[in-house]
Amino acid sequence: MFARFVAQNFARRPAAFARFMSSETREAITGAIKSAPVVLFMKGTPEFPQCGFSRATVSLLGQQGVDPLKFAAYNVLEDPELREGIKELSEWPTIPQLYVNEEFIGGCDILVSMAQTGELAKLLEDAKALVPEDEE
Amino acid sequence: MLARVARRLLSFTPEEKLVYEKLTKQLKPRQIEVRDISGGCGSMFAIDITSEKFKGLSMVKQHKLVNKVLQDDIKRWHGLQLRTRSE
Repeated sequence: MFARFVAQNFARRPAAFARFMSSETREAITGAIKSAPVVLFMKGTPEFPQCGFSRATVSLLGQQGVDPLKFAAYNVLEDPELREGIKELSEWPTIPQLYVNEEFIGGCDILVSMAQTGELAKLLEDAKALVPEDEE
Repeated sequence: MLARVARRLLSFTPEEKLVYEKLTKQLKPRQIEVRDISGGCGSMFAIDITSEKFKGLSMVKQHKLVNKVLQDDIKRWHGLQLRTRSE
């Protein structure tokens, strides 16, 4: 299963929420985006998603064969600053949000479409984010 | 065709109608479908929209166009299922 990476940096901070992101929050979020080749901002955790769209996205990444070692997930429900900040940073109003190699890829609908066309498989392969195939 | 559109409009919930009108005005869609799929609470919508304005744009940019038109509405919702096409 997916390695779970709980956003402790976020969880420890006070839940005070400003309308515009502080530079500290922005830094923490960019740090999170850089923390792995494949980064998912979601509601709940990969083991216990708390929204159907987040659940669908996690299972999609699993089906694609994303390597757990190259994957990090952040639970936006644990921190309101993260939840609002990531929306502002990506200019994207909904969760989940996927980043691959620090680039915003999209939300659930876009990932589903990209999976259908094979674009997602290619993207993840190019990013070397897939579990290496067994050599026999 | 007109009768069908009218009937569809009549069966809209007020929020569906608002969304439909905003998108129609801003994006001049060739085809548009707006459905409240929340099951009653009115905070989840499915939108399927075809517009010339999407031509040449990546899917993320197409979705961003729609998100921008609906930015005040999306804040109130739990979720949005969006499908955009340029033709």
